[in-house]
Amino acid sequence: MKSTLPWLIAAVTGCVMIGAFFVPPLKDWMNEAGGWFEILAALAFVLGGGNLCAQHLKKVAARGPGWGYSAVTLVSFFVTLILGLFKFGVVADNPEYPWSGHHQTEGSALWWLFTYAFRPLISTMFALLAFYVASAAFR
Amino acid sequence: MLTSAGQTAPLPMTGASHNGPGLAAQQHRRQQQFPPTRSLVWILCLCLGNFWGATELPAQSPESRADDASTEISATEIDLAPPSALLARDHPNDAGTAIDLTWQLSPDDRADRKPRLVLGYQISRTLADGTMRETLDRVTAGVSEFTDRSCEFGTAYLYEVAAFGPGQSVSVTAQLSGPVQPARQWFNRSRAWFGMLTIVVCGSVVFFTEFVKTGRGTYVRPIAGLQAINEAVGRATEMGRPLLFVPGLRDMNEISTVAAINVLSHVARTAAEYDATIEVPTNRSLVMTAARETVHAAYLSAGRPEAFNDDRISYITDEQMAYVAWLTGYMVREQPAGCFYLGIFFAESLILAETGNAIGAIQIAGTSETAQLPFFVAACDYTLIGEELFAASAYLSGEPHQLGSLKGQDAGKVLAGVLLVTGCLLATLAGLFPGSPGLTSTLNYLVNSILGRGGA
Repeated sequence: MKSTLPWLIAAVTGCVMIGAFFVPPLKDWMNEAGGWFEILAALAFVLGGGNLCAQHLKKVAARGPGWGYSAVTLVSFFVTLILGLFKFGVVADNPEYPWSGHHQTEGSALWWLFTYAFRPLISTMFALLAFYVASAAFR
Repeated sequence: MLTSAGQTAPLPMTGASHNGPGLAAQQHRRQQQFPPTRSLVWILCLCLGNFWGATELPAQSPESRADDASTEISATEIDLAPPSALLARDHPNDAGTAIDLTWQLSPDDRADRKPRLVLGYQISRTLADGTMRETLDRVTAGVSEFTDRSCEFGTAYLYEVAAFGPGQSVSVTAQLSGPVQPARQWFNRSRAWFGMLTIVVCGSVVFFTEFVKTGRGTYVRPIAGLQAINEAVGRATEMGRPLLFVPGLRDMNEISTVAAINVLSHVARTAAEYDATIEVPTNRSLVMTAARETVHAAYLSAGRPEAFNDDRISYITDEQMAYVAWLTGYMVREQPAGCFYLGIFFAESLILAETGNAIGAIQIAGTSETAQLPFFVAACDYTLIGEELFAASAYLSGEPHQLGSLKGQDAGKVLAGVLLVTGCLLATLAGLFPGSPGLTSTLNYLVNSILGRGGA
């Protein structure tokens, strides 16, 4: 049962997807299946975040090699999560709804973090590609 | 299927134009444009000009010229000719949620007229009883069709189209003579050929699966990269170092990622048999879950479930370059003896492959991203090129249903090749003999019906 049910769900969903391509009234079912995929993906994000925390907490607790990096990872993760979730510095689009407004509005805390911390780090990693291209070309 | 269609009748100017000005308002505007006091001043100026012997009229200031221009536009606000011959048809091959509208352009909708009198058309609809009026959209001038995709199945609608111009000017509306109701089709006929091709390919998969089960047709040409898996795992065991398996940057809905997970199953089983350690960092949590299940099953099938450690299959991050930073850091610190890069890769392909090369690992890569293949070929020991990645699972497992699927796909490729050659021949012949209507119509049928919109 544990393996049969997922197979059954996958098979039915696959058949609906194929069927909806040829049978227009099945499109609603296809959209429904797509919605469920989004829900699963969102749950998987929680799973991923949980796994990340568990891995690094283990390393910090055990004082394993490089545990300091794990601590930095955890702090960065939670700071980013909290700043984004609680929309620090985001001005509401509609004063009646204080939580309205995009979380990456210019001037918000998350925007600041993205612009002045995350983007430079990512750009630096990407820039390294030039050196790797040169070394590969040389060989 | 046509369910209802109507043609418009011109409506009275004053009553039908719901947004346009009435006659009283027009007269009032004209009086404002030429007020009596202003006319008196104008006549007085003319007299004075004659008195001083002037022969020319005084030059107009820019402001007054602009005023005249606006006067010209304003004067046309009431004179917009409406569109005509409004027709509504059910949108074909849908679930009864769309209606196609067509109309004849307003006679004032002319591109050579500057400034343009008609800027576009406004489409509105009501329910069949005239209630629930709503404006659907505006289309630009010169457009004479619109598809309303917001219909509800089983509901009848009345449509109106009006031309609009500068300012608030709107023509009288073109209306349907009767309500129209969308119809539902149970089969998308534009995809009939596509359906037939699907049946042929799927049928060939089933046929070849049964064929392989009888013990015939099981040959798959050797793939060097897959034969080297045992070599890489054995080397890792001898050196006491781990293996690194990177399943790409995309989620489980990508077929390349699924193929990578299939190869992971074989690599993990071999690693379990050799007592080697395998590390699978992922950048999608669903991939992590699938990889854990796969590796666990591989260890079980190898008879070593106690050696399985799910901490070694972990989620790192969704971010591309952050993921690369983790991977390269791990490679430099742990010095894995073998690195597998299978799945979908982008700019990080060369960073990973060069780092692996620098630490002296055996590297086996495979991707369906053709742009990244040269980088893998340059820096890795073995590369699965294109479809070799998808064939890997069948090649490694040797299971009849996978081999049958592989051969069925080959049949599909042969079919695609035949269609391609036929199309090229037809296009060439149609170019050589342009007067042949048979060739042209056959080519058009092949392009538009068999290959074209069917897959759209």
